[in-house]
Amino acid sequence: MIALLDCNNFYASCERVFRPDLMKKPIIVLSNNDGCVIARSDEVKKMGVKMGTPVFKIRNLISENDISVFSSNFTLYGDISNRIMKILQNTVLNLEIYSIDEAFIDFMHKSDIEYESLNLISKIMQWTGIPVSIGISTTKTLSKIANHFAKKIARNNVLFLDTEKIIDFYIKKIDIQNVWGIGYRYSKFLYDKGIYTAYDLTKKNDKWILDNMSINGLKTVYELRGIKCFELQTSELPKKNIRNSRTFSRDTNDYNKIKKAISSFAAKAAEKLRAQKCVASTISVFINTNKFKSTNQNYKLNGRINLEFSTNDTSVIISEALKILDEIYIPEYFYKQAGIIISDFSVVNQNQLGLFEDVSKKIKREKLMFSLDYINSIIGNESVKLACEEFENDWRVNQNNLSPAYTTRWKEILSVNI
Amino acid sequence: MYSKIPFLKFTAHAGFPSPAEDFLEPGLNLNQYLIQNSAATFCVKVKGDSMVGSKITTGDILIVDRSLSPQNQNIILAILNGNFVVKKLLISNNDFYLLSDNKYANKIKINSEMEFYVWGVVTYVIHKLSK
Repeated sequence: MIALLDCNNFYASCERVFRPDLMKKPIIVLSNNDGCVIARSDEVKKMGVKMGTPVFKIRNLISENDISVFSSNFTLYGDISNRIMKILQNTVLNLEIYSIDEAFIDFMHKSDIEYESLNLISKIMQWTGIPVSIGISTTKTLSKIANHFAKKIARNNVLFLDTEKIIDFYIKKIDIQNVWGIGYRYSKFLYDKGIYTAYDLTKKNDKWILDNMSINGLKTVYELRGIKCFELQTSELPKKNIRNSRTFSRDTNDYNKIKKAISSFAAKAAEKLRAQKCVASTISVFINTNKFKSTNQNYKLNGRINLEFSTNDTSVIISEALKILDEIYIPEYFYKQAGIIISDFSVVNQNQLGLFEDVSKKIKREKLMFSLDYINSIIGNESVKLACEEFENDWRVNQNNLSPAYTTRWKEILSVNI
Repeated sequence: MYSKIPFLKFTAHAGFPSPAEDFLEPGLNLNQYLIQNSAATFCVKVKGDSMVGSKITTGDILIVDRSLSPQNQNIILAILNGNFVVKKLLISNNDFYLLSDNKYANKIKINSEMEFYVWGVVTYVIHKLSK
């Protein structure tokens, strides 16, 4: 039996742990630049606020209902997530950490799964203050569905879908767009074909599914029929690509500002790449205009480059990224967002030397990068950086309602009047 | 201004090996001493003097372990009607009392009308001697 454990309204719940005054009050958490709603407490969900709603559209609702608004505090959420995952690692044998607030657990053939799930829920609640739900069934895809309904209808936050009858009951109830692995694109297509629930999809024949939805679509359908196709990934695989992007606090066409931003993202990405002992051979850069402004059409400009020699050298990655930016940048547009993605990784010592690569220079550069990372790790992040990167104050992210980093910075720990 | 950056230590290739080499241990780790369960432990700073009798004063940092179940006489961080409080917990005949540990010794009896729950049990106080 496979379980999916999912934290309820995770970001909002993290804020609440340190704000007991907001226990039953409505809370929302906003995306990186205070743009859109990315987490809602139950009270806000009941008001009909959808995920991703731009905050300017609900200004009135916020003031009328006295909704507490938070900027996203990923330092805090990351720490609380680590605590929860640590509890799980010490409690269950087979675990896949799926996202910041979700984990798959393989209960194998245990007999007292419901009891064990209830224990886990109360332990996580007591130790961290975060409410979680657990959905259990025979496959990953079905456990996701079980979790979906565990949150909605189960009084104790556990839902166990074991018999065919119960599974059928719930897959008839779930909208196809809420099925794991289906997504927005397929759901539109499926609605057109008269397929509205997971149950409808399981009744289609394999050939039709394979022809219209590829092999992963077929695997999803098998999983809905109770046949395991997706195994738990219990060991953490190194990341396959690194993405770094941000939203500008104000739309901009200032080339220098965008250039500095891209340089900084490239440097951060290169550092992460070195930390996982990899080199990359593909760099992509993108700049997007503001899709919420009607005066400006929505442009997404991007370019990519394949490097001759794989690298994790900050200055090489920056200079290649800036070459791409040069090509895609159009001065007439105002940009909302910029970012970089590096991909096609290989492990450092499995990486072949290029025939024309300058070995002694390569070794020198490796030492330089090593020193850079070492100094930054000891005297603080970003103590040493390239001059083309941005410096403090160049880029002010809008985070007007940021809560303290209660668990990671001494200056910001919870303060209590006694 | 220069600050000394400790760089990687290289093992000496010449001379005599240190007889202590096989016995080296990492230095004392305060986390290990103060924190029994890191996933459930939080640090909290206090202001006020309602708990001076328990040697807790303004500016002190409390180590709070949420995994412990509160026992009679424990110092706890609790929520009372939406606010954090640090009090001594007294349990007698199934009644719960919150006690301030100063000269007034205020005692609050918990009743069903109050919103009350224990946030965590205070296990250590970090108190700086010279302020």
